[in-house]
Amino acid sequence: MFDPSSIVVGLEIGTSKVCAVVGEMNPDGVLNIIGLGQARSRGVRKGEITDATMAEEDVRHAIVEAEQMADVEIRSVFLGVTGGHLRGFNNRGVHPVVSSDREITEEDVQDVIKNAKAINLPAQNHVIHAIRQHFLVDGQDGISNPVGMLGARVEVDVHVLHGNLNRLQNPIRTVKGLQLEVDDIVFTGLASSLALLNSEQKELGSLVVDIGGGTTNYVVYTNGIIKHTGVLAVGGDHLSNDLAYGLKVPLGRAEQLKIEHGCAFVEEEDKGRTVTLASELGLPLKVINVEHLRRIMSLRLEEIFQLILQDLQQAGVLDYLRAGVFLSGGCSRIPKIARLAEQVLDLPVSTGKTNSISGLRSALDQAEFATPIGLVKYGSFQQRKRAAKSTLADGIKTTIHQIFRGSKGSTR
Amino acid sequence: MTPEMLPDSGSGPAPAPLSAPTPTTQEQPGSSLVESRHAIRVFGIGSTGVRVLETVINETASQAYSVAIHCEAKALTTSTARERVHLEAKLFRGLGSGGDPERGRAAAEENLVHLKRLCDGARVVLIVAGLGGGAGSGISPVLAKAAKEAGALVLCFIATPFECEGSLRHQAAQTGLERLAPASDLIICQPNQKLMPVIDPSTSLYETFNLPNRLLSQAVICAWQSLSCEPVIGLGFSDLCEVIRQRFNVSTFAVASATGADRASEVVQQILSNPLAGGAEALKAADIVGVTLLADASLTMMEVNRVMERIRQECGTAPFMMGASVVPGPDSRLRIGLIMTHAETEPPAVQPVQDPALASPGHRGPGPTTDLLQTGLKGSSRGSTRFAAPAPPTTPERLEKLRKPKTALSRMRQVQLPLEIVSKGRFEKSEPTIHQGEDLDIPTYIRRHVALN
Repeated sequence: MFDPSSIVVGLEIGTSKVCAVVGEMNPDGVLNIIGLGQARSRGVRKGEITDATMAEEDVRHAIVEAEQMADVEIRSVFLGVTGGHLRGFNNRGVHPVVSSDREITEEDVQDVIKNAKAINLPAQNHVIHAIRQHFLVDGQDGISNPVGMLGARVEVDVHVLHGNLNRLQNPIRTVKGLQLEVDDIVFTGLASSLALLNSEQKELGSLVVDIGGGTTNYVVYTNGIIKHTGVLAVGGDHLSNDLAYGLKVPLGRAEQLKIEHGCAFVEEEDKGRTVTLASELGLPLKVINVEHLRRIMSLRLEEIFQLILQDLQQAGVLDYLRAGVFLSGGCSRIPKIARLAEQVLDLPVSTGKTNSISGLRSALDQAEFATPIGLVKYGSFQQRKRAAKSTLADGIKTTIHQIFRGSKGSTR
Repeated sequence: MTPEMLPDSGSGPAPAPLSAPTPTTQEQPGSSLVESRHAIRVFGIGSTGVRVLETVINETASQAYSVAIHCEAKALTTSTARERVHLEAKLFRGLGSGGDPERGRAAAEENLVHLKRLCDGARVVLIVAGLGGGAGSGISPVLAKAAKEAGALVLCFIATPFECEGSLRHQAAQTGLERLAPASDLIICQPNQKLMPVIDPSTSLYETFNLPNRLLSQAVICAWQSLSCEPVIGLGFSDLCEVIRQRFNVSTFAVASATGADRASEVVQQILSNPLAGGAEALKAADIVGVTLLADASLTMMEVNRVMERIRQECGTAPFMMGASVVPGPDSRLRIGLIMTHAETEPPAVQPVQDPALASPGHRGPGPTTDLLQTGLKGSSRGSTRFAAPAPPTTPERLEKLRKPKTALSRMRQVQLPLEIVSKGRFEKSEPTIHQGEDLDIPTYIRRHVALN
């Protein structure tokens, strides 16, 4: 049962918290969450590590907690990465079909994908993901598997997500400093979308917006493939900072106010409402105008959605989002944020649910955990691929073995 | 101006630095100066000042302790002021200030000791002057400073010239106002240009100044009487001035009076139609309003209440204070004095039209200076004085130096915009999130200029 290959760990070093989730794959490939560890993050700003020592300590805490809960030893993790430096774009690869009968073979498909992934990027940039989208055969769109089809020319689109290599190295180094292996790095937005969406929603077309502490990551699915990704280095931290500045309170107090009294809308009844902050002794310290608090928050959140809207408009994917918008991340807990997003994006908006994974359901079905759960899910896909390869090899081995044994037996 | 030329100056005893005290009727040295009824002194400076002072003396039946100061002996001969001071400087060679404020200033500084003696023991000093000429613009600041040093509350009643009097005169007035500001507690400014629309078109040039002078004298009389009577209700006039002073230095003062049974309503009606008050809009836009009421012993609480009720309505959100005093004597008038300060400029209706011809290229004053001058004058609001530094110890040479880089001075003034530095808080040290030239780390509400009130 504790075969290390069946344990998948997702680690997110976020701006507000470091979270490690341990998943276990059943022999039949079903993923089950068995452990969760988290720690308040102190060394991260806008999704990127600014204080390596602090970050390392926080990661250790989270990992240890997850290990204790799952009762396993964590050796390797799937690491979530994000940051304002990440960029996504679509690239197309072309390959002429050279065989005499014009039948597209497996080799042609491999070649065209290779062509599509050959991207000219500056040396310091690293490709995190190159996600295959649809094939085109002689200009015919929307083909998911062209093998066996006839055509003169096969093309494929890939969505490439790349970032600055050095900045991507920072979290990897931090994790490696704890004697842990990094199986793969995964864009956190992609991870969230994996946790939240089922295949039907991907097929219909949906937008996942993960508003975390330091960054806002978003991913667009249309026709079952990832069409667009984006990172905005603005998040919940900015809300707190705005409040601290606007209401003239310390940052910690602003954070607390955001959680206790925050709202994405300024309602009529908020006008003139006040909240009295009390000192430790219970004496009134400062009177906060709720209207101002919510106005500051509302403007910031509205701006985030407007920036996303602009980006989606430019990418031309706005009309394909038939399943709507799914929110995750800590900020999706802000009351009425879905309504605000609906107003700005003019699309149905709901808070995403991570119901596609079993185990620890009530504890995990929270918007903040979408990313680490998605990381585990991503990891499980990777493991399954590897397992499939290995089972193929194993199968051959056993067959040979059996043949061999059988022949032995028969001789005996 | 060279010393050897001095003996040539025939008229005027040149070496005598002090005034040639021309016939002073009741010169009571020493004791009279500290007498309580002489605690309030009215100084008329320059031709306008002396003329206004004359009206004040007549109206108050010579009760006010009045001092007339001028650089020309001729103008003082008709004055009935208690003290008449003819300021003479070596520089003048008996020719008066010749319309040059610097000369007036030099004369005043030469005779500083004498001016100080005139202010000795005063509680409140009212300075009445028309700015723009030599005596008014030159002497007033020096006198104000002397009075302040003597420990008096200094209130200045200032008339500024008409637009058509030329930009040089304007500039002199502006300079005078700027110098007066740090030295005085409150400047009540009456821009004559503002009265232009209400001056009867058929008024002869000879009578043009009758209206401005009358208004100015009314203001002075009202102030003087309010000061000399203890307030029955509300704040005393000096306290009103004190409160207003804390906000701004230049204010508008309008006076109205009415008699009869319905005097309370009438007086409000009048004050609102007063061109200096600028109507109800100006009252609403005022930053702070002070009201002083004066009447004889028949004044009833009902009347005070009625007046204040109306004023309160007109004031809107502007804060206001009041004081009412009873004047002894058989005067049946109810008088109201209204002091206002404006943070904004005046309503456009009464703004003088800028005449481009005034700022002719050949003129010393360049364009921007003229603009500044006008805003300073017509606004009579905070703009001109809010940032004025305390007057440095000045000498005529230093002033000459100061006058020259006038343009540089005004350029500096333009730079004084409210500069709000937005701290980025916890994102101070991280890489800024720039999106289409906007720094997203700065709170959205600030970038979008959403006011949180």
